[in-house]
Amino acid sequence: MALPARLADKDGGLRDVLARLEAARGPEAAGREPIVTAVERMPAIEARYAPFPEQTDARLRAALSVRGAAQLYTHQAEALAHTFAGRNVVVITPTASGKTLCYNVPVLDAVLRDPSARALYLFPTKALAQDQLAELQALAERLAEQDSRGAGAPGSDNVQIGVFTYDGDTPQDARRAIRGRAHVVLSNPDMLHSGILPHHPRWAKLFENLRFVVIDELHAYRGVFGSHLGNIIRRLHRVCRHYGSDPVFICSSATIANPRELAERLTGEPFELVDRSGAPRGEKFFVFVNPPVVNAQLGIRRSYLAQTRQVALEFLKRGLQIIVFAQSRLATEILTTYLKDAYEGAPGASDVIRGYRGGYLPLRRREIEKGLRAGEVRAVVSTNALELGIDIGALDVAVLAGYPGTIAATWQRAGRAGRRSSRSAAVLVASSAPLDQFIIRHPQYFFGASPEHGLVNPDNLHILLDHVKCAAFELPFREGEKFGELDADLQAVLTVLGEEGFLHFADGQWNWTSESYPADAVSLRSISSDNFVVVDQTDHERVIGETDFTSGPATLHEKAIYIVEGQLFQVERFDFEGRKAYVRAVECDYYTDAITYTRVTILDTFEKVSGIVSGDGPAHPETVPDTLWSPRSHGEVHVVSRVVGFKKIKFYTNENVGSGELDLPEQQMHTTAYWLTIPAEVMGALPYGPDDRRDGVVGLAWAMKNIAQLLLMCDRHDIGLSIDGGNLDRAIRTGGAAEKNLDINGEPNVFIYDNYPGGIGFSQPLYAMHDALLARTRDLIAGCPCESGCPSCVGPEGNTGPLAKAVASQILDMLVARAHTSREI
Amino acid sequence: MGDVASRLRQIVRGSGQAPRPGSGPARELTYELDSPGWRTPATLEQVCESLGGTAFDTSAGSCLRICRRYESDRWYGNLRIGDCEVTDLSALDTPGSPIFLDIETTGLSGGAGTVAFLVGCGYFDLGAFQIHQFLLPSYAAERALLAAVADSVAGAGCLVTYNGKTFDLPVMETRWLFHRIPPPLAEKAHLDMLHTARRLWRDREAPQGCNLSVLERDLFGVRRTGDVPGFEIPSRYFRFLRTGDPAPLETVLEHNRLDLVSLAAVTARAAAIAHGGSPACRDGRERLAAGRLLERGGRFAAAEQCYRDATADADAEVRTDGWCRLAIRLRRERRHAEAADAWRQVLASASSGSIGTLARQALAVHMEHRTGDFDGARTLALEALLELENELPRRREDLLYRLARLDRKITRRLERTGGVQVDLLDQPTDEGCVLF
Repeated sequence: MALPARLADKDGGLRDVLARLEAARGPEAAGREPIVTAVERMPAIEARYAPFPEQTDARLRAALSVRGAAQLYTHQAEALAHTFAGRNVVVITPTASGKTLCYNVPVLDAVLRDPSARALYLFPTKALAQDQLAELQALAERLAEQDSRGAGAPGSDNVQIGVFTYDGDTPQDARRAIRGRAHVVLSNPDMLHSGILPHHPRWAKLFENLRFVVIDELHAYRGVFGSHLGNIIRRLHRVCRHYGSDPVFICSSATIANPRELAERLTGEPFELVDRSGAPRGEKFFVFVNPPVVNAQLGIRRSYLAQTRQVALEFLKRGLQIIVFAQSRLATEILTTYLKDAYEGAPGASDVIRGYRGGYLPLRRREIEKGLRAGEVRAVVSTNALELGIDIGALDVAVLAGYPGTIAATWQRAGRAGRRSSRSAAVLVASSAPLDQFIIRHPQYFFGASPEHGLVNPDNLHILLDHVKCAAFELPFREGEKFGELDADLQAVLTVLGEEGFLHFADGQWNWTSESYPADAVSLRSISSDNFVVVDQTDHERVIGETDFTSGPATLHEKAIYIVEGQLFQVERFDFEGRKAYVRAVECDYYTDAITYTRVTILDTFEKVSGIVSGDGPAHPETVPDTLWSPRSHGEVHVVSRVVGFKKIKFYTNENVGSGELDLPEQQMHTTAYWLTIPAEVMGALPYGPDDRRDGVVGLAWAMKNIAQLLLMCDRHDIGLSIDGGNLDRAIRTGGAAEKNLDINGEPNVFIYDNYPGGIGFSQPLYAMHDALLARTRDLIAGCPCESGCPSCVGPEGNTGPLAKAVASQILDMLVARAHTSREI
Repeated sequence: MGDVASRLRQIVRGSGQAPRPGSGPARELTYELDSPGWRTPATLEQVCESLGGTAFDTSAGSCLRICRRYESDRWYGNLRIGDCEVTDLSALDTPGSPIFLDIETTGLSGGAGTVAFLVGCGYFDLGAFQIHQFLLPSYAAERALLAAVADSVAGAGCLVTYNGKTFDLPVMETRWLFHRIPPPLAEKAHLDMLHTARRLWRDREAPQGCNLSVLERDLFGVRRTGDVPGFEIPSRYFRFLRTGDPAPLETVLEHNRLDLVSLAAVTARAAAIAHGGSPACRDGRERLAAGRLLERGGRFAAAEQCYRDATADADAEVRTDGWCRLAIRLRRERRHAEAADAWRQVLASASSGSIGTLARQALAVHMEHRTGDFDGARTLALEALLELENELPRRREDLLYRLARLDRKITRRLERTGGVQVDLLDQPTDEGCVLF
């Protein structure tokens, strides 16, 4: 099959495919689930324009109009008005709505007025900084050109705007020049943390004149990374105060529920929110596809990758330019191969279908990006590497293989398709994971819900402590000084650091009295800098990867399969003390999944609802039923976990093809947790035997964790699950085997804990979302078409027991129904 | 769960692993109070008295100054202080009268949190070596210390340090910038003796990096006793800050002074060699090193003299090296015939090894291009090729290329002169290279 010409009737082609998909939607025929569960049409939106603010430098306006921006969209004008007035602003607008202009204009305007003015841009990745560098440099060159043509007027300043990236790739000998000459420094939080702030005296020129700090892709700073950034910004504030500057912050973000709150939490400053886009958009369709069930009993569906391939080919063969998002590097390679195979034959044709993911060399990535913009590359299969703002132009169709995990990321990826004037489409193909199945069967939830919250906890003691050290290295803390909003806690931290010899208090200030360079010991992408390295000894020893300390034992235990860029390695020796895993390349058709024994002990309960079940505020005594229905709490817990074994799981079929026992050291941590207590009355009211009741709780917990992940906008690894001293994974694995620790006859607790020492701020919000958590868990289980449990709801039947689904549903019915009853009283 | 402080302590102590609940706190107080004087900073007067210094007042407050004078007739190893006097460093391409600078810091990492708590400055005063050391009695006095140092160096023509280019000067510059004062050292001429010392003595005295203490021992026979190891210095200063007891700093001050004296001595020695050339050198090896140093400074005649004198050395290796350096020197001056003679001398003394190969290659070039002796060139190139049997392929390739060209030239000449073409290279090369 050869690719059709690109200039075919694209709109017709798109309508063609959409019509076919619409037809597949249909009513439920003969009890069969629909394959297409939603076709949502989003009407075209007209552009809304606004003039440039009066004070915008005329040279800048001229340069922008040459580059195609003669007037502004309303949101851009709104953002500029705020920044010109010196107010911090956070802009949330869809992909390709011209958000970069919102920060480039105020920055360049300031530099044109005052050549000493400086700006610092932070991007979550180096690639994004490179991308912005090109755009800013083009604008700066344009300004310089204009200037030289208009020169001759004596006294006119020479417009030379220095724009440089400063990151780990910047050559040592170029750094000095950049420190002196850059008006705009494009960097990332890691570099600011370890390369710029600790050397602030050398950056005096930047900090003395720092007028703007731009934080792009704000939504990327959630969880641990965001909590680190919050502290880095606190350090930045201190350094700026030292040099007498007070920069304005400009943040841009993909759609999240709480952009202003997140920006304020990260920077400790008040923000204005700009969230009404004035950018135009063509008509757009969003289609949900659920691969058909091929084995109803086991709840097995057709492979979502095969389904994705089929959908993608429909669009491709009609001459449309598409992007396919896959969930992993492995899936990316598989889908790229599928699509290339389909177009085998035409010489050179394979180059029009490309893969794109982390691990490709930068040059190759640039080439693919260019090909996409020029239209030469017709299909790209990518990991989330292309989700952020890399400029690849706007494509016709986005196909999402698997639910990206969050509503925000889904919209972000879907936004890669969609030109300003023509029609576009996005298709989500669900996998059989619980989240995918929940979303695909509840399109109204997806289209109606606000996106997730970005949550951070800069006051996590582990993270805070590291950054107080770094801050003290940079500038002594004065007596009574604050760090962000911290007051009493800061004094406690300083006192302890003094006791331990890191600081010394004299003459009213805490001085750094250690030889070390504290920033080196802090890694922003995780809490602990301790890690395991993976050593490949297939040919000669070489390090091929690293894993953070907490997840080391679960992923690098002996006989574990470790995957890098699609290549499988087996761990031959796991050296826990030496923090190394020795691996060798293998060819096998399974991967491994560790079985972790986890025990949670409650240390301190921060908040608790033990009376009434739902609603806001405390219960009125007369409305409390005679029994307590869904008590929930959040607080501090102690988690002990140990990897006790592993399962071998076959690729594609996910069959369990073997297992093994392991004996690894315990890992312990203090963290925060939300927990649901299932009252003894509910347990007692279940018309089932003890084993089945236990299965029901296990199944309920499994489903709850998945919904919690959905509500919290977090990664699978960010939260952990445990049942009251119970051993969840083992319970799931061993099915009916007796589980002594699981006190199913009492009041079992289902713990969902922050999987980071000290907690990262998920527990309190989850506690607040308790009602939604239970209601959506019930929807997930009730809406699942499987007979008695599958991986998409309470876990596979073979693992949880035959009645898990029924019991879990009944528990939820009682908890949720009582909630409604009590509200009605 | 417990108070914040005890949790913080657990985290700081680094295990990251929380103890089991109920097992009670593992340890409550693991740090030791250094001395009864904890948190009772000594007064400036007390410190002055203990360390034998005086309060030094500047426009930015007071720091501590310790002055010591090493009289010219005092012995330092096998030298007298007066012999170390050097007032003119023009031979080392540095203008003006020198001030010697050495700092002690709270760490080696650099950055805003690395503080120079002791700055030692030394200069010669009528044959005697005068040292002024400025000490931070507390971090709060840093501006005063910086002002004092700026004053001290203001009159000097140039700065001399040991590894100052990468360490002392950047650290000091950062301190000034930290206090938002324009750094005064930037415009001064600067001689980093580490680099000169490496050129002169690395081969022999200090193969592992030209450590100052190794040099002073080998060059001047100085052996320090009770010297404080470098890694201990920051912790001694921190102990002083915490306890107020200046005693741990005594040896640090002495260490800093000895570093300054050695730096002056090493500088004097290098300047003497650079100034006096071959006659100032102790032996042939130093002559070879001096020749290189002089070449760098563009003093070719003096360099040539060093090499020539080395060729008469008692040590055969030095003689060979001398011929070799001389040959290279002469070739650079386009004195090709003389250079060829020198290369022949090299071959006469060292017919094998890399130096022999170098000589053969150089001679082959000379014969091919200047004397037209293709056969001779070819023989030498072949010999070099054999020598390089196990060498880097790139060097072999150069030779193979040369051989191929030589053979073409020989063939052409034979054809022109009506000679008979013979199989010139019957030795097959392992690379299967076609030579015709």
